[in-house]
Amino acid sequence: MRCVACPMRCIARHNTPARMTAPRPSSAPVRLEHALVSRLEAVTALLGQVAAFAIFALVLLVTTNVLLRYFFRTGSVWSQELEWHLMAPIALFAIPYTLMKGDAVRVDVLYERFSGRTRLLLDIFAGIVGMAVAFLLLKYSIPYVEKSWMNGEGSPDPGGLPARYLLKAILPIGFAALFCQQLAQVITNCARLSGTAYPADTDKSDP
Amino acid sequence: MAENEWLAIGMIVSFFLLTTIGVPVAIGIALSGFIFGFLGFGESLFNLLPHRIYGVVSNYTLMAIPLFVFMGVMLEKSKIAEELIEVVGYLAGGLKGGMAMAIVVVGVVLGASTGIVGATVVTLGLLTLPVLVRRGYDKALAAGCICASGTLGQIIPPSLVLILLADITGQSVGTLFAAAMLPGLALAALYCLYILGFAYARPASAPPVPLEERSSVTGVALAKKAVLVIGPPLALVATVLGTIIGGVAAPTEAASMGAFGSLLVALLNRRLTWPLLMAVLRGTTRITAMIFFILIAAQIFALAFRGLQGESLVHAMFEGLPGGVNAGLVFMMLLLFILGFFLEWIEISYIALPLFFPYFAAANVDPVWLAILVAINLQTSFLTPPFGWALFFLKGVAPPEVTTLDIYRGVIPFILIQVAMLAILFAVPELSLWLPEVIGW
Repeated sequence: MRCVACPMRCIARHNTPARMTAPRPSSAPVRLEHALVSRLEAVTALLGQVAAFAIFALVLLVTTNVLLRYFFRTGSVWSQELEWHLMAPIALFAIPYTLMKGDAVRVDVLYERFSGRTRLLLDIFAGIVGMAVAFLLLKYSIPYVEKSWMNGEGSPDPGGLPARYLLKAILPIGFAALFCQQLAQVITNCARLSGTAYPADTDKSDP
Repeated sequence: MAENEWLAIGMIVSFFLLTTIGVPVAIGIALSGFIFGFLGFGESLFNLLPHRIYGVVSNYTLMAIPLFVFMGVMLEKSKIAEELIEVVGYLAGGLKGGMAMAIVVVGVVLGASTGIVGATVVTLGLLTLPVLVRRGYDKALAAGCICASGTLGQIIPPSLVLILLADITGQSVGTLFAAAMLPGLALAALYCLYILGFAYARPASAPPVPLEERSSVTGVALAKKAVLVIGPPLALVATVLGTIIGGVAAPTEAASMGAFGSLLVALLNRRLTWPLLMAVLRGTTRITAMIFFILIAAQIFALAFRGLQGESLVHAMFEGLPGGVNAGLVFMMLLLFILGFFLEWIEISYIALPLFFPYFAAANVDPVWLAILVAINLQTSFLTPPFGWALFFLKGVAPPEVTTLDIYRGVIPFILIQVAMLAILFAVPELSLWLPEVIGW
């Protein structure tokens, strides 16, 4: 489903019907940066879905393991390991998704008194810094995964899961996604600053 | 002072400035960590970073966070928490101040089952504040009672705060849960005493549920409803706590039983639908991500702080205090209390505490007792005007006739109770140490 009003907010935010049907502000063709933002946010939304399902899988998996152990006294190393293997995608893929939903933890005592313009400038600053942080994290984590891959690292325990480098690869993937989501937000906020996008609103419909 | 120590101080100051102007906390902490780490140590310092982050996202104990959050969000969104409040209000009967005390009881159960301050205060506030005000309760009393009861979930196990504190202090989660039990219940009892005293002094400001309304529900019907509504969440909490404290299951396993149990409770109440499950999963994803973003960013800060020899700085600071360890404790408590004005408990736990704990460990202070003192201190800081989080949460959902000032006025007596509790625990460490010992931890 595509939002007619502005392609910039068509992903995962199309739950406001009014905006769905509102005419496009100008008859200009879809702007390049808006299309970019919608692609980036599509990736973020997808990762958020993965994280949400991983949480459900985690609940079922840990419960199953506990019940199997207490009632049937059986269990396997790989299913125990799979438990915390699920944690990495939950933690790392959910972060960009949560940022997209506007859920950053911040001290808003001063922030809520700032003018809309000051807030946008501050958000752009934070977004650029966030991109730099995500880039550094990405940069440091690539050699870490490379080393694991070169060593063919797997579980040290017999019966454990192989290919631990795949799990570790979630780090750089998550940081790359974080970089992309911050980029999308910087573009969106710049567009808002120049008046070519809807003003900021955060989706608090399902906290 | 050496150059590095100045850099360590500069790092803390820059973090404060960034967060105060409203930069998201995780970004602010990562930025100050990277900048001052580069300045003082150079790039090689951060080669360790991926390993530390991997340690966070593959930590077995921290896995309990999404599971407990799932349980809490499920109970909240399936409206089971809501019914709980209704029934307890009826059960309180003709007692003056009874409804306010009912809130304390519900706060304990709800807080224990969710462990999320925001969720508990918002739920309690949305459901009870309009009712209490309509029934003639003093607005300040109602607001204060909701804020205090909502934050009590931070002390009453199973709470996220205690899980993180266990991770930081290197204690088992079961020990901390057992240690927090008595002080937590004592706090609830003190709240109730205060409400009783208030109702006795000003009966018109804390009236009971009207008799007609109570007599419209028969005793049998009420008892039946009470068992059906209070039973499942209570059984859930008891199972989770029992298995952890009894040493049957690790906290993560117990958390999964709690999460699965909340799913069953919702199913038995015929509330479980696909959209509900999706909403619960999305809510859990967001809360989990907020916590983990800060945990991951805090690794950068912690690494830089260590690289800059910040630990010796903290040590020197405490050495300089006259009065030794006790003065150090009071100093740390004050510092945490002030930090609580500005920061969320996650940042305080993960950034400030690791700086102080080694000093107290070296001075042979019991880490369990210290952790419970810290937990109560953190809970108090949620309540403290002007920046307490619970106050913001409640203001967000309060009816318009309840002003910010009402809320501020209302929490002050409860803050005094908190401080009294801290003093009692400070003087009588056994209050927290007795139960873990009896159980044999």
